[in-house]
Parts: sequence; structure tokens; C-alpha cells
Amino acid sequence: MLSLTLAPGPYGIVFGSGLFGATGTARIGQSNDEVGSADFFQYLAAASSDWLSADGEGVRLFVEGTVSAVPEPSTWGMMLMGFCGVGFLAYRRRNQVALSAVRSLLHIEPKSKDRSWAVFFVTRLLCAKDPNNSGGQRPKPSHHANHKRRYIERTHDPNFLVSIGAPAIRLEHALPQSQDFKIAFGNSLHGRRPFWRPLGLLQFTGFPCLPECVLHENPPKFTKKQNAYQRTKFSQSTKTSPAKANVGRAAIDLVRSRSRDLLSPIRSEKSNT
Amino acid sequence: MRIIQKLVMALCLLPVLVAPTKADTIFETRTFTGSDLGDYSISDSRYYGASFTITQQTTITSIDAQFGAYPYGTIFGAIVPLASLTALPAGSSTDLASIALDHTILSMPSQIQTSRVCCP
Repeated sequence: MLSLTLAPGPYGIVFGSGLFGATGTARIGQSNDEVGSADFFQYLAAASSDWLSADGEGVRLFVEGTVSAVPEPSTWGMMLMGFCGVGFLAYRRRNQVALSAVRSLLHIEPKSKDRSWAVFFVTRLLCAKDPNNSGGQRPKPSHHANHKRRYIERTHDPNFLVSIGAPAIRLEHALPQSQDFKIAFGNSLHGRRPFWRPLGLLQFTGFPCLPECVLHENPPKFTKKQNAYQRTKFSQSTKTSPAKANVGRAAIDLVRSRSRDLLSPIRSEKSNT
Repeated sequence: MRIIQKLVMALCLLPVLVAPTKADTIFETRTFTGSDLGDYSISDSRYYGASFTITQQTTITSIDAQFGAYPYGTIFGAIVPLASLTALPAGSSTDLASIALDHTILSMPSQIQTSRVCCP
């Protein structure tokens, strides 16, 4: 079969002999039905070597082929815009659900600036393993995962962790006298040598008054050295002060229960999808 | 995750959607009504052709004609570019081999047969 891809434009088909190895002769029928106007041309050696216009009444010449339905650039652009739109809608919908859950959890009014880490927190929470959620995905065993696990067991009370894996919630400060404390959450499992990367900070005043919590939109950023200090201080405080640890456990349990209730429909929706 | 899967499926189906469809007649000067002896002779001293235009990128799979009387040997069929639908091929008939985009050899007798390809 012939296989020649042609761009849009005018072309001609020619039949003859004496070229391309063809040596035969034939006559072309002239009794076919007219379907429209067509322009014919011919080469007639007796007249000239130049091409001449010809009358093609009843002559049937035809071309067969396949039209390549390749979208034009504008069509490609529309398709890409459609894909991006679908992805953006899905992303926005998921974030809106998560953000509303966070707002409901914290009882805060919607703000335009408070979404970045809050959304990150909840969306990561959905993906992270929750010990109380049998549907959660268990991290694959690896050297890195073992390293993380050892770090958690050594430096953190597991009760302080909402989940194993990012994000973790830890007790930042606990003041048994006033029962004010802060809970920071973030990625404590960053890199081969884990260090605390704060993503958000909740300050509770008058435990367990969650509705009165203050949301710090600009959590402190620690250097590695500061992280080591914070981690050590935190570890020491939890080891040496059971009262503080109990406060922290109770707070975390409350956060976990609230978040579990709020996030369960999201989880079910996520599992359904 | 479901949406991502849909997007991946859509991207996978894209080549199918843009794949060439079944070969069809994209141009014919007349519809076939039956064999006849014919009046326009084809030989080394007379070529015959027609112009056509395509509006989309098209892969040509065959060219042919309804041949009549006195068939003998082989006939070539060639595709040439034209400046316009009403223009004649560039140059003279002796330049046909150099301007042809592709050609095929038809064995006579041929009754609306499928062309066989011969590399240009």
C-alpha cells in the first residue's frame, strides 16, 4: 500500500507510463457518473512536453487515505486547560473540605492567610498512618522508616503523636499551674537525621478549652541546633514531669478525638473514592 | 486518586482518539458506474491526471483509476504537489520523476484494484 502523509493543500495525481519502471499501456474509462467539478491535466507528447489542461468527462481517478485526526494547537490548549481545570477543582474541593474541618476543629473564623499550613496539616494527616485508624496505610518497612521509628520511640512519647509519620503533634510547652500549653505540629521526620520542622503552633489557654486556642500563623522556625535543643528539652520534660505529660496526653487525645470525628467523613469519602 | 486515575486513562486514550481512522475515499473525480472501453489512452507518450485538495493532514494509502480497454504491462501513478487547485504540475512532463512525492505501480489489467507501493 501507498503510505504518504500529506499536509493540507492542493495536490495532483498522474497516471502514465515510461517512468518509475512502468512500461504498459491502458485506457481510462469515460462512462462514470459525474460527482462534481474536477480539474484535469495531461501530457501529450504529440503536442508538447508541457502539461496541458484536459477534459476529463466521465474519467474516474480516485485517492484513498485516512485523515489523521490530530488536534490543532488550539485544541491541544483547550484539552490541557480542561485537564488542569479538573485537577484544580479536585484539589480545591479537597482543600476546602480539609480547611473547613480545621476551622471547625479550632473554632476560628475563616481567614485568607491561615490556610497554607492548616490545609497541609489536615491533608497530610489524612495520608499519614493513624494508629486508631485501621484503614490507614502502614509505612513500608525500610531503613529510613526504621530510623524514623527509632527516633519516635526514643524521643517522643507515642501518645503525643497523632500519627507515626508526618505530621506529628508534640507538646511544646506545658505549664501545669495555669494549664496553658502549646502544641506544635509539623514534620519531625525530615531527612535522614530527623529534626523538627514546625508547620504550625496551637496555643491553648485554659485547658481543655479548645475554642479559646490561639492560632499562630507564623510558627517559629528553628535551626537544626535549635531543633536539637527543643527536642532534648521536650524529651527531658516528658521524662521528668509526668504531670506535664498527662496534660499533653489529654490534650492530644482531645485533639485526636475531635479531629477523628471531623475527619471521619473525609476519610470515608476518601476511601470511597 | 480516582481523578488521577481518570486523567491517566484519558491520557492513555488520547492516542486512540487521534489514531488514523479506516481508509476511505478522500477524492474521486467520478463515481464508478461500470466498465467501458475508455477513450483516454495512457502510455509513455500520454499522461493523465487530476488535481485535488485536502483540508486535513491525510495519509494516502492508494491511488487508482478506472481503466478500460487495451490494458498491458504496468502503469505508474504518482502524487505531485500543486501551487493551487487549478494549477498544472511544475515544470514539464520530463520533470515528473523529480517532483513526484510518491508513486505506485499498477499492473494491468486493473479493475479498480488496490495499488501496490514502490518506494519513491
